[in-house]
Amino acid sequence: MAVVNREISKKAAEIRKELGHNFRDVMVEDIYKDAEAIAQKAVTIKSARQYDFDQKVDKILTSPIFGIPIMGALLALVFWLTIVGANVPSALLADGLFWLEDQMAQGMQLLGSPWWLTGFLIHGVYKGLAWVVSVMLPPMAIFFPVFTILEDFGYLPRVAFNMDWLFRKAGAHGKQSLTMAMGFGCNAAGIIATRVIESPRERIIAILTNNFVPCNGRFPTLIMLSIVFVAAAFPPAVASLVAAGTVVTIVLIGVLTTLIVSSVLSRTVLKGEASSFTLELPPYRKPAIGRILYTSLIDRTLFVLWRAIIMAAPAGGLIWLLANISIQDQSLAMWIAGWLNPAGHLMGLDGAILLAYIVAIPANEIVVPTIIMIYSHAGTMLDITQLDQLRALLVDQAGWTMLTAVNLMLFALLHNPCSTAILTIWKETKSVRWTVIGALMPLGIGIVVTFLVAQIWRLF
Amino acid sequence: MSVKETIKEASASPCESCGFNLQRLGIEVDKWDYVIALAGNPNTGKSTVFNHLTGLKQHTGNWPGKTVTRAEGGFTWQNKTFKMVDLPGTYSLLSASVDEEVARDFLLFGQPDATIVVMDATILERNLNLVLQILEITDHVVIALNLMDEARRKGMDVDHRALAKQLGVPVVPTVARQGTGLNLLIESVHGVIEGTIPTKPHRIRVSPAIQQALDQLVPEIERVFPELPNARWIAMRLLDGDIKVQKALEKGEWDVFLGESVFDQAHSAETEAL
Amino acid sequence: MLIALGIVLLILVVLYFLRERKNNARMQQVYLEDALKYIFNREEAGHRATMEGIKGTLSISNRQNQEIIQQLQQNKLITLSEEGLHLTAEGRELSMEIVRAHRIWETFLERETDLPLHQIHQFADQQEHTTRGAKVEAMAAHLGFPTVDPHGDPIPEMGKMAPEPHRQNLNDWEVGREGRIAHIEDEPISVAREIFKKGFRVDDAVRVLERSQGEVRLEHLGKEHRLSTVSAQNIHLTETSLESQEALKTLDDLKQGEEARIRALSKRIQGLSRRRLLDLGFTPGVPVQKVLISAFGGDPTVYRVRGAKIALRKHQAQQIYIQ
Repeated sequence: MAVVNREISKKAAEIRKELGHNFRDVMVEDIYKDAEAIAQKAVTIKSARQYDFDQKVDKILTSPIFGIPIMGALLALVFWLTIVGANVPSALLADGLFWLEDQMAQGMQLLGSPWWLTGFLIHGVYKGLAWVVSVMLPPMAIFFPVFTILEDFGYLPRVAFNMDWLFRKAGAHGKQSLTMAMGFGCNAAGIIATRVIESPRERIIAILTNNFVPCNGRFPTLIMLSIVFVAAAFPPAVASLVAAGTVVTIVLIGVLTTLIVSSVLSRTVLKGEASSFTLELPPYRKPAIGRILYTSLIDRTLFVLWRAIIMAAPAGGLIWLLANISIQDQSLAMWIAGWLNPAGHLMGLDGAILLAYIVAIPANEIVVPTIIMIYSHAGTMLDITQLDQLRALLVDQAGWTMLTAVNLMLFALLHNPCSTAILTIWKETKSVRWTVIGALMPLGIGIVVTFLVAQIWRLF
Repeated sequence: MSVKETIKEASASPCESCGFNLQRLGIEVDKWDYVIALAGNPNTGKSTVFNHLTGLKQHTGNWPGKTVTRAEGGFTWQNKTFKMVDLPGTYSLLSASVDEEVARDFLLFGQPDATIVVMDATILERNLNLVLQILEITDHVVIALNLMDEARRKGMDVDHRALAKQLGVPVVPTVARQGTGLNLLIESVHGVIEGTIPTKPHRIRVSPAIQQALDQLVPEIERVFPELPNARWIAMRLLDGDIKVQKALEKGEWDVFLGESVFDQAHSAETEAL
Repeated sequence: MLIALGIVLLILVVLYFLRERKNNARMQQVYLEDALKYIFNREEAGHRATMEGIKGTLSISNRQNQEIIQQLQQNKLITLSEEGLHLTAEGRELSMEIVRAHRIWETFLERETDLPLHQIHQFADQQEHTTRGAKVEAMAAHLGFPTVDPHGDPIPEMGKMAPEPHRQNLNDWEVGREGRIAHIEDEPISVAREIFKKGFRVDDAVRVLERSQGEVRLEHLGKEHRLSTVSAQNIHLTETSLESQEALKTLDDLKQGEEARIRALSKRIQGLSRRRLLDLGFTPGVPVQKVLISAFGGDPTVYRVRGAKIALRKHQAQQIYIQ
């Protein structure tokens, strides 16, 4: 059987040699000639000269002058809507969930459960969960639908078009900006989305740098800090604008880092020639807003809740344990924070923040609550819902300065990917080498950047 | 009944919702009567069709390769369970990129009972490139001529009957965003699977030199594999030096994915060299 | 505890030695084949192949060299005479198989990946020893049975090597006369890299403008380049074919809003890039309109083809000729 079949492929090879080198070209040409003939019979153009809506919009959105400013303005608008809109629901959720915590704790006491069990389950596991839900859910429930509307409208390919020259200069692929857009939601999703880039070289660049886009687990930290530290210095009327501006600045620093790192990679370990770049700009389409709201809310709510349960709840338990197991009258958390303090100080941070980042490797969402817990010595994560309370705790008690806030924001942007993202890098590259680089390179950059900022800051 | 009449009759159905007791199953399909593949260019509303039929709310973006792995879902219609496989949106099956490999392999080796190809009515010519290739692979094809509303708005009149006559398979005009035409689409798919709607797919008109080559090669393949429905396509792929098809032919096994493709090979070579 | 550790260490040591032995066996084969290739290349060029030559090319010791020669003789691949080493018919056939594997691999990598040239060459050097027969032929089929590799070297087929066409060194080429690049020497790799980096490829038309001390000034694709005499030594030219003499306009030359029909895709676009463009409908005869130009020099630029808007980078648009 196989011998007969090999005869066939041999014959095919013989015939092919006679046909010449450009078989594929001729073949596709033939298909298109056929397609032209068929289309001609099926399509009649009724109005020869019609209003080209797409072209008019594209002339503005991809304009050499306005294209990039519009992009920045839209990004700022999305963040502003998120910050302003999430304020009230976040507070409400926090009030409700923490009220429930007290109720449950009392209930368990009535049932005769020992203090440590109540503490672990309610003030540890449940509280970690409640914090994540109240802090993350509202911003994400706003951010994603708004972002999806832009995506459905057909705006993202235009972003890739506007940004391509930067990526070209960095020796990377223009579609990397699409994968970065996905990274806003979740870096693991962004890393999977790099499959749209066909060249392995350019794809690895996109995978290794995706972490420089802050994902939804890191936004709450950025939003909180920009409100509490940066915007607080401005009158309330413009505070939310300033906060949005701060977040945009951080995102832009992330983009800049992406470009610099991509450029370094493509000139050193990932050298190569520019691969093919073809990007279709589809027609603009009216987004199905109703469907988007529905799916984003349902999908995202479920996703965030699920993640909260599997990631934040155990982390909450661990935090409780660290804070409640004491050696020589000092909790484990304080001990570790103390050991980490010198390193933290060099980076313009402190030991508590570094400990929080170690605890938060599975889920970055948990960073802020852990920090608060360590400072407050409360044994559980404090439910600080009022921003001025938070400010008082951080500034007066923990001695934070503007430098701490700035460096924490930088470190939130530049540190190791969460465990899910690291796992995804391994799954996508199947290479230990790239996984290790993908995990440690951002951390290294984060340490160097915060260190330099701290040293320079202290000079003045 | 001739193809033409059947299609005419199918298209003439006036009511969209009557008899459309479609039950969406999401991903919960473990047993099915039929497997339907869903193919099409990117940005044609393919995923909207998929979501509408299966009730899944998967969000897919506006660029190729978004559905890199196949998404699956299902629905029941007239007591029959359909499993639906959403293939990655591709411009062609010839480029040998990852997403095209996935789509091509499923059509060629996964042997779905029917294939729906979603077309963008506003750029018919470009979409036909993929359609004509798929028609070479399988007979059981139904075209969903989508975005008819956009075409109208752009001042184009797309005659789906003329298109059906040219292509030799049912063409159903749809506006997937509103769910218009999807009832008829399923009805046509069912008809094609059951054989009540006969199809006679268009064959690509190739230049004389290639035709001559095919005339030499196709009978050889048909002699060894009389059951094969797409000997002509296989011959074209052999002439193009398609490594995967060549291996499948030499092993005589068509139901498994064999060996590595050009893409795999280039990819692994490049990854190794990096 | 210590005993367990000791056992583990022992196993690791044994495994290491086993691997080393296997590696050595493979290295041995690589040496044999490289020696064969050296003799083949010398014979092709009409030179004498000597034992010293092998030793120098492979950078090996005298003893290793003798082992290799013995082995090759035992396998009836070479014979020894007073003039030096000669390939037997079998040896010649095997050499050509190796050369074919190498050149097919290079062509494949050049077209299908975006690896830089020096990596392509190194990778092909490794692969030529492990890839034979069916796999090479499958690659050749995919590439449409190319007859020359990216350097312009002929790819042997069925034990036959196409005769080298008449070609002249760039340093000897007449000033003012147009020629076509027929060959770019791949060694030394640093020089080849410089030539490729400047954009010179096999089949490109060039014209020598001026020759001065240690340098040659030449025109290539409408641009002026300077090459050192050392670099120029690695380029060979032949007569141009009629087609390459014309200055062809490309999509890149269109102004915004202008439309033109495609004449052809340049030979320089190969592999996935070419297939992608064809599939998007950039085929000869189709009208294409330049619709949007991005900031910073119109790279990328959007073209309307068959009703769809497609963005291309400048270097791609410059490879699509228009009528």
